[in-house]
Amino acid sequence: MNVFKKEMKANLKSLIIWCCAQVFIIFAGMMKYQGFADSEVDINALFDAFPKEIMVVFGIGSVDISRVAGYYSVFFLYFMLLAAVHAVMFGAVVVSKEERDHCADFVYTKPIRRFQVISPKLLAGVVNILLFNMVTFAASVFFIAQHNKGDGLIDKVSLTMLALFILQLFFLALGAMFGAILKNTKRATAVASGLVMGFFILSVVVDLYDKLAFLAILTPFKYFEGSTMMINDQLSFNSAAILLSVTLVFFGLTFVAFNRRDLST
Amino acid sequence: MNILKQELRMGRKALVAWCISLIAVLSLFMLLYPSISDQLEEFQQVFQSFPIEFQQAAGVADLDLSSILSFYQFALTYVLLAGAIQAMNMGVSVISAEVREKTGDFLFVKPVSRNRVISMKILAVLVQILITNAVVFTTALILVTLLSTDSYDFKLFTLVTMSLLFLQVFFASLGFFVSVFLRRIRTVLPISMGVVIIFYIIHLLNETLKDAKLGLVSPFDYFNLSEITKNMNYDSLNLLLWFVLVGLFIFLTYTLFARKDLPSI
Repeated sequence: MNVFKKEMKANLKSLIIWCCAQVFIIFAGMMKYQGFADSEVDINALFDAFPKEIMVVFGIGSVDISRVAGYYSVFFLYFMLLAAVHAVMFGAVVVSKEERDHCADFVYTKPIRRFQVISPKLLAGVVNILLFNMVTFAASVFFIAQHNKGDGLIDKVSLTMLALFILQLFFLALGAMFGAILKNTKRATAVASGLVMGFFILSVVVDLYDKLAFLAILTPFKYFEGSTMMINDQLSFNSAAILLSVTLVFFGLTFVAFNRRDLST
Repeated sequence: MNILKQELRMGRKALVAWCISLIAVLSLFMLLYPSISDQLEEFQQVFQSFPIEFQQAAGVADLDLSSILSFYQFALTYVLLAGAIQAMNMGVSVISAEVREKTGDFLFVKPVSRNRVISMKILAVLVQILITNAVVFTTALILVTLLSTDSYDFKLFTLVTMSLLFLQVFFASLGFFVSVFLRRIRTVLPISMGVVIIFYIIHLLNETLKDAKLGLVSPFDYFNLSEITKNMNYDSLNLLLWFVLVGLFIFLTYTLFARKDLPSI
């Protein structure tokens, strides 16, 4: 419990900064929706005639962006990117920071077992990403309601946030695994963030070129589509199941690897 | 001079890794070009059949899709993102490393002024940025020349590619400022990656929104590639803003660092 409290306190400031950035992005994005919706009503008819590849090149995507649900679904990509960076960094740092700060001699000589140190740390991670998720949810509903005659589309947004949370868990576990396996924090954050960027670029490549579509399974950014959740109210069960089981495997590996770790002092 | 040499030696491995990944990202996208260039020409015809208002709204009015440079710009966007992270990373870590790795006690008692230490470190970062740019420029030139069937506008190619240099200098100087502004930096990557990704998302948002004020927030918008193509030059207001901000960050780095209280072991 003490480890959990200590971690929450240590990460409070960075969590606040991340949440503020997220709220600003939602605010800035939705602020312009009104004018956008009024002026470009018939743009969708034109967009329908477009091949998918060209839409990707211009960063538009193939959804009806003149309606608030479609417009908001475009945000999902940004949320994923930001949440992934936040979660993966949290995971990588939280597991390996004691050695970096030369506190390992202190924590790991306490009369508790290693997994009793790691579990509350990971729990603090889950609570942090959950708070980040809740702030995103609240800000989204609030700003959507302002532009949608008071209707915040709570059902649709909560479905989107559920998908986002599954992704956050995945990235937290990924980061934690690298934190436990690799030698130090610097290397763990470098590898983890390299992987996030790799996933992101792969997701763009998959969009761009049909014949590479089979690679979509390799990048978590392609597991959920903002539009299917916001418009069709559907969450892909297969995607969720795959991501959650991989997450469990990563968490398991974190514990195994950390138990055998040679702690540098 | 010794400081410069030492910094370059320490950064060598990371620099090679970054250059290889930038080359990889650029090649990955550019090698897709031959397989979708036929489609791009069809899109060009589709676009020209649209009313001029719509062409302007979608930002395709002056776009020549049959030229390889339009696709090259798209590919370069991702190089810019990665390059910005690299530059910010170098900027934040180069000064803060002395405190973090407890080597400040060694360096700052040497008979050189703090200003000289900072100058050497800034110079080291600048040299690494220039090397990165030279590598990217050469790779891009080879790829574009090999893949293009027609001739292309070399001046435009240079302008577009040079935006990497400007962007990297901006993020590096922002990194210097952040590293002397914050009291102590424990992990570099979450800061640099977070800041760059947030600016990148604001830029992505603005691709759709085209808000002039929001365009001043994100440095990615200062060197908007489609604007550069249209005007065949950088925007003078943005260039001025870039110059002022970089100057301000560098100035603040010197003044803040001269008075900074450096913790010893």
